[in-house]
Amino acid sequence: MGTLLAFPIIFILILLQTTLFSQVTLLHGSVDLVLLWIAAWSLQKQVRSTWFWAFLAAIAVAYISAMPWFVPVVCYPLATLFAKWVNKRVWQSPLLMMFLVTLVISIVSNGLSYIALAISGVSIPINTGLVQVMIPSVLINLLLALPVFAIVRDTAQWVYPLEVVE
Amino acid sequence: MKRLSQRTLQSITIGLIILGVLALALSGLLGQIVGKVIDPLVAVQGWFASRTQAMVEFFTVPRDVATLRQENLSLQNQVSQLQSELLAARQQLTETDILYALLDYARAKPENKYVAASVIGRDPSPFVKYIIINHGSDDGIFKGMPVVTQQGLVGKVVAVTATAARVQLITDPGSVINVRLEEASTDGQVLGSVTGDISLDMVNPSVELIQGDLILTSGLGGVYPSDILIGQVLSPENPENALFQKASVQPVVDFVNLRAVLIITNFRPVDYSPLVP
Repeated sequence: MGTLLAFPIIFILILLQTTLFSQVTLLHGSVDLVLLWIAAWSLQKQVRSTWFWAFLAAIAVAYISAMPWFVPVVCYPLATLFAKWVNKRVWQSPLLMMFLVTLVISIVSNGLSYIALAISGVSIPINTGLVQVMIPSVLINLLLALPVFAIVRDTAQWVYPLEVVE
Repeated sequence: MKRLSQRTLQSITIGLIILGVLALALSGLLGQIVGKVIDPLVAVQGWFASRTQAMVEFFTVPRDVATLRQENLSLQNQVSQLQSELLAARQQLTETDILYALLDYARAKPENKYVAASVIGRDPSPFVKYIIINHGSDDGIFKGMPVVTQQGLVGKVVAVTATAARVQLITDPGSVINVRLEEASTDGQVLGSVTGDISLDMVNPSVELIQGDLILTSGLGGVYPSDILIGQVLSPENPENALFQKASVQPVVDFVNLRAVLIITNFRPVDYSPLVP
């Protein structure tokens, strides 16, 4: 069920991202809702289909976005990898993990986007890119990390109910 | 005689009583007398009526409250329905206004063929400025077709599926458009940026840039048709010893609230890549 659920949820997330959340901006930065969901989903210990979710989201976003295809294909699995790595080390503090993963992966994602555009011949002044897009995007991702994490945790508990040990 | 006198006496007595009553009425004394007689009756009548009304209400009001609640609920539903209809009507009115404006534009330029499309999404990445429209190759839309609104140039189609297409806006940082300035009669390029602002570049430094000068597509390069309005020169910059002049540009299209666009379907961009050595 967890695997099948990826299709409707990622579809809804991309719909929200392309319609509503692409217009909710801080300066010129916007939230990456799909990335936040993938990060939060990968932090749930009971979830077993995280890699499938990450690759499905990456392919879907690569198809929708005009960004070079390898940006989401690299970033989303990387978010899963990092979340799983952190999950093994900073246990018992899921919120701290979520903020840490969001911060790191947002910086990586924005940095990679900037580099990918520069390679493909689109010149963006580093100062403008940093101040107007990258830092605001990281901040808005951090702002929305908490509500997204709460929704993802509830969804994960619904899909993979924890067994009560007596 | 005796009977007659009795009847006469009765008549006189009755007449005198009537006259007396009339006299009392005219003098205002009758009201006081009648009042004193009727007031207790009215009080009794009022007491009785109030008790009767209380009894009637006791039996009927609970039913009325239920009816009123039902009616209230029904009216609330009606209000909600009417409010949603009003919102839908306003939405339709806005869309109709946009479509009428687009239709006027299409009528004003009958040499072009247009397909109207709605904007259904924007690119998820904040680094690029693309929109997604709800018409694709099934509607005769192909890669490279220019996209406009009644105000001016929006961009060009860069990717197409059967039912949707992706449009690169002129504000995209990768967008470069060959333009001409109407008053200055010179060529230049309009460049997009990551902030969504557009700027004029590559203008001959010997030409005087005038604030408010209209910027139109020049048609050079064959990517866009000529004479489509892009914007106005906002603030010219002419630093000494610079190879070219620059200026910030005020676009005519409101890219933030872009909801419907026209795709020029009878324009085919020129593919000059085989000519490039």
